[in-house]
Amino acid sequence: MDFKALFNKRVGFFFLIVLGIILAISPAGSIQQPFLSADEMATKVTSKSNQISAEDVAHILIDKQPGVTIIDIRNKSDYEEYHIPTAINIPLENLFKVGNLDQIDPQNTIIVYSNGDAYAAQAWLLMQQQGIDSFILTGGMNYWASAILNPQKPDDLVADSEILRYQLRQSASQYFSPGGKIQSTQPEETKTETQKPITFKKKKKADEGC
Amino acid sequence: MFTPLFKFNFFGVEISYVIAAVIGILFGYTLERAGFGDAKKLANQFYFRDMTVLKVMFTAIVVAMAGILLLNLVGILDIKQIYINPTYLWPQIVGGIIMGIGFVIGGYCPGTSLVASATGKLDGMMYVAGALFGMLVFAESFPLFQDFTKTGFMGNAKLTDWLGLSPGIVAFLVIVMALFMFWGAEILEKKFKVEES
Amino acid sequence: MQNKEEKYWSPYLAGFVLGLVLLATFVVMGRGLGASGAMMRSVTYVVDTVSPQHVDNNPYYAKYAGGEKNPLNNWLVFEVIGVLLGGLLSGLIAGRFSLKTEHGPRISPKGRLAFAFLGGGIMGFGARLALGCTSGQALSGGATLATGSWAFMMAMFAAAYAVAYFVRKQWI
Repeated sequence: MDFKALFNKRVGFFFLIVLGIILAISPAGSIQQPFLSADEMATKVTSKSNQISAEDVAHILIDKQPGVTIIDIRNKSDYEEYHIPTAINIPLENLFKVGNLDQIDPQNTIIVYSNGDAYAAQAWLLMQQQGIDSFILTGGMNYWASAILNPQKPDDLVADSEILRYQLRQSASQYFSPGGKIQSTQPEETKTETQKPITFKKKKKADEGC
Repeated sequence: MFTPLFKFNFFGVEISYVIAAVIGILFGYTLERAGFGDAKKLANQFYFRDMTVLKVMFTAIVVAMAGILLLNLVGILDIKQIYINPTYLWPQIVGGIIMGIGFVIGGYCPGTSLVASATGKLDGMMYVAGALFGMLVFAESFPLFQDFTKTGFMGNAKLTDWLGLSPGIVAFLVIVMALFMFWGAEILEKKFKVEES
Repeated sequence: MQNKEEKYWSPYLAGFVLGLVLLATFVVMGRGLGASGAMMRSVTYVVDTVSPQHVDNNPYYAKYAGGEKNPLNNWLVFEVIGVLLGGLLSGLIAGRFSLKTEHGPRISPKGRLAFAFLGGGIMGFGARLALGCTSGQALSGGATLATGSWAFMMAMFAAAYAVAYFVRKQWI
């Protein structure tokens, strides 16, 4: 292509006007896949890109980031005993009842958690089928309680990174439970997932700006 | 739809860093070729003597915007997977005003100051040092205005929502606006042009 | 190095190429370009090295380097390394690489350097408040039609034109 001809001002002007008219009368920008395919969901699950770590959620709360809705899908009594600050309670069986999910701004980032991972993961799957995107809190309430509310001091011999992570949890802990510390909630579901070291999400939505 | 490639797991984070460097090289190369490594050329924008900044910026915005919409139209690009800058209206407007003042005093913006530094411009390096210092001051004093930085939040708001028009029509309006600006820029340049001594 | 500097590209050609680079970034990565974010990460890295505790206690630093996060482990940081290389490459090829201070006819080089530092400081502060700079907000946000980015762009240009008269001695 001859760039000089393209940037001849009259040609460029004409080209842009035609381009603009094509765009104006086309549905460009509105074409989207309503649902993720099963394969895409499987990829999200295995790559854990549908998870968000407790540390990241703690930061969202400390930073008072707007546009985030945290849903506690446990039952009402668990919720009343303790819940992550700002979380709303919609028990899993009521999740898709009219007036629950549709009250949430569709633009918001949705984070779901239960005691462990299993129920939250199922809620995530059901929401995907309804075309609603969400994140699972890795390890659920159990991990939150042990990592954020009652951080354990690591041994002296562990890596620096472990100590740094402990310090972060300590400062977050002071923020979330200035009074007494809350014990871990009763075990429910599988806890295998929670034993793994958490990985910081690298594709976090809010972290891509300039 | 299979793009953005990264969001569809065509490659991992490590490869994305290699791609970042390649894209950065192209970005830096283009900025330098546009003349953005020269503070005088950038600042002349604000005295109507050289409207290069406006022309380059709006041409780039129009090309990228039209490209995104066309690729979506033919079913290649999934727009939902693209990062949209969230809107925090008030901090963005106040930050924009502060940056405008800094732009005309310092002669660069952060990206162009990097290019200027890379081509040996000492004022570019001073500017980078200043910018790093300014960010240090911002972070250290952040608790003072933390609440303000969250005001005017509108989510990932787009002009299409605000105007209530389809993306294509908004794109058409942006193109018409850009053409008017180019036309005005050419006239202003002729009027305010000074012969280099 | 050549003796004579090559000419700059036509603004429209440069804009077209820049637009293609930006478009490629969206298609490959699903995100736009940036610059000031990487600068902020460098600042955080230094502060984190000096006092990790301080970083964890400040919500702004903690976003970049809380706990075990390495603030430099980020896409933008590698992109900005590329920008430096690309600028250097183009400067060398075009014969524009030279150690010098760009200054207007009515200001000394020293004065210009002081203004550059001052302007950089103001801009660095503003860029963090506005959540991005000319590349991250105006270019990338502009192309995706983000409302806040367009408001930012208008505010920036309006302010620059409003203040230009008072600092004209620096430039013309």
